[in-house]
Amino acid sequence: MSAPQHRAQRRGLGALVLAGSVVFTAALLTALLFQGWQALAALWDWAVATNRGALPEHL
Amino acid sequence: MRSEGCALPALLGGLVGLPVLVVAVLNWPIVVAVLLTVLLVAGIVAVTLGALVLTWLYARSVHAVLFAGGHPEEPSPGPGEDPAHRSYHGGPAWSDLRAVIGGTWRVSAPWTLLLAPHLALYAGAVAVHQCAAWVCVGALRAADTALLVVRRVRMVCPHCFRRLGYPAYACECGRCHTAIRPGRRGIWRRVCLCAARMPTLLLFGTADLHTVCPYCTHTLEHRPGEAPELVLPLFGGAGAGKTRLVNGLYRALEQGAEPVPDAYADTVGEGARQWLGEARTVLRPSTRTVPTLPGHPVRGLTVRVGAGGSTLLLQLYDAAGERFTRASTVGELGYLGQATTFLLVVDPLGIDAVWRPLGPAERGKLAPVRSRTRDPELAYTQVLEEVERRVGAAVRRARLGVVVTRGDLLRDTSIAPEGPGQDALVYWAEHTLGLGNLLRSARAHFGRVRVFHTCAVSRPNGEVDPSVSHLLRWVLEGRPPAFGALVEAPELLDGAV
Ligand SMILES: Nc1nc2c(ncn2[C@@H]2O[C@H](COP(=O)(O)OP(=O)(O)OP(=O)(O)O)[C@@H](O)[C@H]2O)c(=O)[nH]1
Ligand SMILES: [Mg+2]
Ligand SMILES: [Zn+2]
Ligand SMILES: [Zn+2]
Repeated sequence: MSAPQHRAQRRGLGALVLAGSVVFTAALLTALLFQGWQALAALWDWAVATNRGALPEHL
Repeated sequence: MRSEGCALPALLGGLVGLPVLVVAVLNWPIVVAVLLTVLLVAGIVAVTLGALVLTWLYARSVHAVLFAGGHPEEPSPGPGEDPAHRSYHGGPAWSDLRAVIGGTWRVSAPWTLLLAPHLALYAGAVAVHQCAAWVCVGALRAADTALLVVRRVRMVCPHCFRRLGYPAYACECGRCHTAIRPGRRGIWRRVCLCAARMPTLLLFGTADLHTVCPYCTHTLEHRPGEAPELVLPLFGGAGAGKTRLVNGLYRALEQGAEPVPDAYADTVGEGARQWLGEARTVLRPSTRTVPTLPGHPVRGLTVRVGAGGSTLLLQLYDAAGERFTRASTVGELGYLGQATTFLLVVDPLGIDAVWRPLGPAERGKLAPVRSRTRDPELAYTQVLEEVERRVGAAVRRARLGVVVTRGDLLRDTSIAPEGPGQDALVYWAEHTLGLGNLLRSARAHFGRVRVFHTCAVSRPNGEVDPSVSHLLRWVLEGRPPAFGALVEAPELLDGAV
């Protein structure tokens, strides 16, 4: 019994699904890096500002 | 400040560490920021790596299933299922998805949960594909059904008399497809287990396939579904003249189609060829028809009639008269529930009320052709009860033709009707033949009742008697006019019966 392979449909679906996954992962990582960068920037802004205030006046 | 340590290394440590500690304490926000930065960067790197690895594992699984042929085996059709392969939308799409999830789970176990968005994307794509496929399936089936309704196609099996929802089809390999219409095994076409392609609808040409009845698996040679069918049961006592009349009806069609270009009346199938093929001979005045065997299974004799671009499948049912005398044997005649036109065939000579007044000379002449059936009402009552049992009140929509045979023999006798008009025939049937009760009951039960007087004997020139064409025209009423035109009988207008 040679079952039909549905080759075209499987390939079409596979290409679609893989492309979707790649795009999704890329978008996720980009967002992650961007957010991380933002968080770092905020952290250092806060650290520098707080540091200036924390030093004793006469130093 | 503590300075209790006395060991040298501790002292040295204290000497170096102290200033650092002081600086650190004084600049604590910077220290916190550095620590957090290290944590954050490490976290981002870990998440990125994790996401890439997971995506890679998932993509590998997708590739294995959808590209590298690692998809699950198609289950072979179970009992009662059609011997055809599944379409991608009819199962494999979902089992592929399951295989991809399974494959990913095997290598990444619970982390697969993090792939939920990817899997959701996959499932969404499959769902859209499914919707599109099943909408196509529904639309095609609806279009095909609508076409059957518009063409007024009702299919009845001439062997088991059941109404077919849709014919079944046998592949060349012998496998029988009982549900060929679009579904999980194909939209436009399906692939038989033997790899042969088959269309899925009459619309796409299933009629070219080998058609069989889905109930009794008999071959149906008349390409059911392509043309409307007219189920025409003849009933009446033994020797009433049913078989001769059936032959007359067929001959009348054949003869009517002869001069018309593109018109035809062909028998379909071996049974019809056997029964009607010799119609010309059967109708000769010298021929005596052979009584139909009561034990013989009843089959619809199919005649395909074409005229004016329309086709009609006439199914003539001629059972032995003995069958109509008992409820048990009438009950076997399922076609009675599928018809809307019935012909009650009556031998006038069999009726005592007709026979008694005849003179000895007439009796002597007619005795050999007198049937044994004395009371036509017996067959009528049995059939009426059976039809009512099968269709209930719908019998009001049916027509009954009461056909009195042997017109040629009665002509010029003392018991012949006064004229060919319907009024004269009804009067004759009620007063001379004593069919008053029968006609009253028929009028009360059937939608329309008409009396005919036929002569199923060919004329000297070989032509069918116009009385048979006249009956046929009534039978074909409501069908495309081209059919009626085939059996136009101008002579009848002159008053000849
Ligand atoms: N002359 C003449 N003979 C007829 C006519 N109709 C029937 N017969 C004769 O009546 C006899 C019985 O006719 P059939 O057609 O065999 O009757 P049936 O109703 O089929 O009878 P069963 O098959 O036994 O039920 C035959 O000898 C026919 O030739 C007719 O219109 N004219
Ligand atoms: Mg007969
Ligand atoms: Zn059947
Ligand atoms: Zn096959």
